Amino acid sequence: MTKPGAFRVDGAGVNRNRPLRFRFDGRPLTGYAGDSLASALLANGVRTVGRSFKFHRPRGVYACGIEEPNALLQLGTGARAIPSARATVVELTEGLEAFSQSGWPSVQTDAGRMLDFTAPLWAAGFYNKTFIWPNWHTYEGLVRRMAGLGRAPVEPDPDRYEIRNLHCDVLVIGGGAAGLREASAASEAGGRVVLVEQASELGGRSAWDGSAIEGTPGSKWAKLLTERLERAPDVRILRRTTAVGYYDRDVVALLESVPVHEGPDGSGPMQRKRHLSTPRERYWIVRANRVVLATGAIEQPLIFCNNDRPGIVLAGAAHQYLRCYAVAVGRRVLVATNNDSAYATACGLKEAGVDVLAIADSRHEVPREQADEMRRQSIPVLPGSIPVDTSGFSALSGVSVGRLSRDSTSVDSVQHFRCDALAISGGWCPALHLYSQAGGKLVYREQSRALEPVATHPIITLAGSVAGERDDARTSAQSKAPAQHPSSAQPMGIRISPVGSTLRQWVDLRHDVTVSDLELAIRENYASVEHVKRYTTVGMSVDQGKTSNVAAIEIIARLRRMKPSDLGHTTLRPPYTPVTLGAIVGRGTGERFSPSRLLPMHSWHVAHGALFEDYGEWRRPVAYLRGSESRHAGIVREARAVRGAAGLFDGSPLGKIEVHGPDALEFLDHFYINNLATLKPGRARYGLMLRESGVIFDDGTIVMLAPDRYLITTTSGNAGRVAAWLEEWHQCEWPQLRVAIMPVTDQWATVSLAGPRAREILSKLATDIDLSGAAFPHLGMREGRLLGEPARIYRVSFTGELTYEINVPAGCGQSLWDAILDAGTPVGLQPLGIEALLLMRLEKGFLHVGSDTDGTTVPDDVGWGKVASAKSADFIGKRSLYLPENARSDRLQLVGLAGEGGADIVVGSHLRLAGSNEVTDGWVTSAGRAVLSAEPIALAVLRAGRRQIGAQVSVHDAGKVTRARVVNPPFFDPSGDRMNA
Amino acid sequence: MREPPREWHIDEPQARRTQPIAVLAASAAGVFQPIKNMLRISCPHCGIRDEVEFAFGGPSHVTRPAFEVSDAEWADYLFNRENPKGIHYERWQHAYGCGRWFNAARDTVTHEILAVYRMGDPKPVLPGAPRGRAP
Repeated sequence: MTKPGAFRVDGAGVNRNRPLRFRFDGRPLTGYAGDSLASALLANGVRTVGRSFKFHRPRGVYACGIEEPNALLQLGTGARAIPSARATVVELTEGLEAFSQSGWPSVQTDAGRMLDFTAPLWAAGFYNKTFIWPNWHTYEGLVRRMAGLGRAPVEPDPDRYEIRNLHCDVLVIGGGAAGLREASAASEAGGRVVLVEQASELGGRSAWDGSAIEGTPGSKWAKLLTERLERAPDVRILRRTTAVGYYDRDVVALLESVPVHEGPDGSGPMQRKRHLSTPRERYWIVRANRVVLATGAIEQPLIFCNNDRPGIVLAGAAHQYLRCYAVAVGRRVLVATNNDSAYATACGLKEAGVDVLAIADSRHEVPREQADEMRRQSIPVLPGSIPVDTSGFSALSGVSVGRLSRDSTSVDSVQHFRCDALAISGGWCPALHLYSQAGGKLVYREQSRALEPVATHPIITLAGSVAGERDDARTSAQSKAPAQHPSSAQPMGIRISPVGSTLRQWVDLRHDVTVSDLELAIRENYASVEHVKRYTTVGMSVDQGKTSNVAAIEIIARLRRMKPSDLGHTTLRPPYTPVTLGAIVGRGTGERFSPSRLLPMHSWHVAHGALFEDYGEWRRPVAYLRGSESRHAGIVREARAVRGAAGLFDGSPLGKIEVHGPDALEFLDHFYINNLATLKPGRARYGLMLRESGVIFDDGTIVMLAPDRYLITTTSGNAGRVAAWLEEWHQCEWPQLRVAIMPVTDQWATVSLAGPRAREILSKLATDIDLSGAAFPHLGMREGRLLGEPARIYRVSFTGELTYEINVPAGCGQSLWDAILDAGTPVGLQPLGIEALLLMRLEKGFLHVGSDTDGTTVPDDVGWGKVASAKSADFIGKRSLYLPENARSDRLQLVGLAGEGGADIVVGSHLRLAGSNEVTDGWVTSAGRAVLSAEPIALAVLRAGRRQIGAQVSVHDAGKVTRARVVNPPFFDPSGDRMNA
Repeated sequence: MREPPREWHIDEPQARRTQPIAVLAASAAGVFQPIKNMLRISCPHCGIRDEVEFAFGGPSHVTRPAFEVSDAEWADYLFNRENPKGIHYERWQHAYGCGRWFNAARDTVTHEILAVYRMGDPKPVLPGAPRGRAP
């Protein structure tokens, strides 16, 4: 085992006075404040951090940023566990627990490695071709476990997330040198500026690579500009924030990771302690007039045999680990490159005392400046050379470097090096993901071997290395190597070794895609880069091909004998980096998922034992349970109280819309299948409302308050939809009609007093309204005063009993409720919940739109066909009733069912008629037991049901079969005498 | 047409605009410039508002046929809609604002709202409506 911290070298970047303990797969390790999890692992000599997706090959830290394909680790345990965290961007904290995500028995010794020795069997499309009998799901569990995808916590997420909107003049994405300069310029011009940086500090590469900007060391320059921006008004700096998506109409989404509390001296994150109000992440939705992308470039690899062993790292990453974390990626390091940028890595490692064996450059001509510098450092340069193979079982132990032929298509000789690390650079590709998401076009350029932008964009400006520009203001001071650029004047060398088994040349490390997979795809006639991507899964993993897409384009183009620039590229889709689902959801979880609407008498219901349930947006009492009473017993008791004496129901959610105006009647007549022309003031009429397709939309009553004032009621769930429906038709189809539509549901408390003793009880309250049956009959409406307050009372009944539906201003609801209870309790009045009400309406066979109707039900199906056809005026949906489908004689029709044998009838049960050959002849839409007799009763839709009255049907419920007789509803008081009393 | 009673105000705009109301935004400097950079919609009654305040209402200029039409014509009205690549004339409602319905011409490729105009106004003529991003 390696000595702890054995790979730590002298240098700045971490705070050596603040050691932090952490664990990797249970093994206790120590890092320092300022470390990333990846740098701390490297410092401790941890090579293998994961196993590859298909072949279970050992994999080590490969990069230093968000592009990391290998070091995806599980963090923490329990509800706060995070799967697939990129160790390269995780800040080390005291007590951090990290786990590798694959490998059995452990990531270091993984039995799955045997898959590697059968690799030829596991080519692209293997799953599609193999796991097909009996179906994929037979294998899915095992395959997913083997792949090592991390484990999402099963507990609810205890953390908070926030969504915030932001508007600004200039949004600068990327806080490196170019971003700092652009933000400063925008700030000086007086705009509102937002500067976004994914790291915890601004400055980017300039803060550590030893270069100088405008004659100042980069780190100092970055600090000065940062301080200036922090003082500037209207500048917001978001650190630890990644721009994850660029969406339609230039909306940019940012994901901010909010750090745990800093120590009192600001020295670093403390134990994971979070104030309740502090979110873990913030999701920013930004609208800016101008977007500056200063997103930099991502280093691309070289590709050769066995290019995936732990110890092989990107050269820029090796440099960054050295400068930012004082960590050497190895003791004996070989550098291989096809461009200038890796020379700085070689110099840096050498200066830190690491044994740099040589630098292999696939260019045949090495620039003089680089060659001279290497000579000064005594690092041998191997021009025209590229790694062709590596050795080692669990980690890198040697590299074979091939001397390329003059045309770079073959290898003349091979030289072997024993080393524990190989730093590779295949050039830099601008991070143009957001530009591409914004609709910008990219093209592959031979010069830079990278994708570059081809057009300007009305909103986006590119700045810095993402633009492929050489920054003349920036020169190297310390290491004398030039700053790294995606396109330098000198053409790049080749990126892909011309020799070696393509079965062992990895293109996509994360998804274990090799060059041979791409060859197979081409052999099988996949031509488009998009199709090859999907068939081989190259670039489809969590890293979205940040280090594999460009090489894949080159290889596919070579195999198809075309120029890479003609091949095109795969679409770069959001998100740029993985986004926590919690951040997208924000605070809209649990009780905040949707707002609850509370009844005017809500607190009374709470205080009197109401059992609440959600009915649409409303929290409504199901029943008021007494003592240990069951839900069912409570419902039956309440219904019996209504049938025997009286009940009081809070029906305030009932939809109420007032329609005023000289043309109100003509307007409303367009909406109902019922003829409204004969409606009289002070009278109510039941009505059905259709969609234009003829399907029943809603039902309720229409009350004429006065010839130019109407009140319509709707089902509770449809109150908003009906009001919007009326508005839409008024504004878009009949704007000439003089009406005003006013939803007033919330303005009125609706209290329903029902039962044979309702009149007796209401008469005890002071009112100027004559309640006698002769003066105030069923379907009447009276306005007046009740207990001194304005009231509207309707005689409409959903229970089949004598009912006064009393509407008073919402604020007066509670006093009315109390007064009625005081007056009625001595004669047997009880409050009732919604289930007792629905049970009594079932007994009466009244339609419950949404339960007894669905998206196909037309009026005739529920017995309202004659009313609709009798109305001569046009109404919405009328023409559709005459379409052949709606006039068929074998449609499903609403009927009653009387259960035989005493068993419950269950809603949703299917019905079969005797001798039927159909799979189903209909189904039960509402069911229960009669309030007094407890006989099972139901409403159902049945094929041509009205012709089957008296017939017997079998009722099928999940394998249980009972029988029922088809009857005409209602089941209770068919004459309606009680209701009309 | 009956004379409306005095207390009944009909929002019949005095000067009905024949030209579409351009999608305009006021910059901080008070200079009007076209909105190009975000999905915000100019309500003809309230001005520029964020898209989340609006509800989409499908294609506009769909004529409701009379009762007497054939089954086929009625079915066409019920079910068939244009789905163009390019300019789409459609209805929107400023649902979380004034509640008013209005028309918009939107490019279905770029989602750019090219014009907004009142309900009942004719389709605006949009010469050379842009397709995609300017190079």
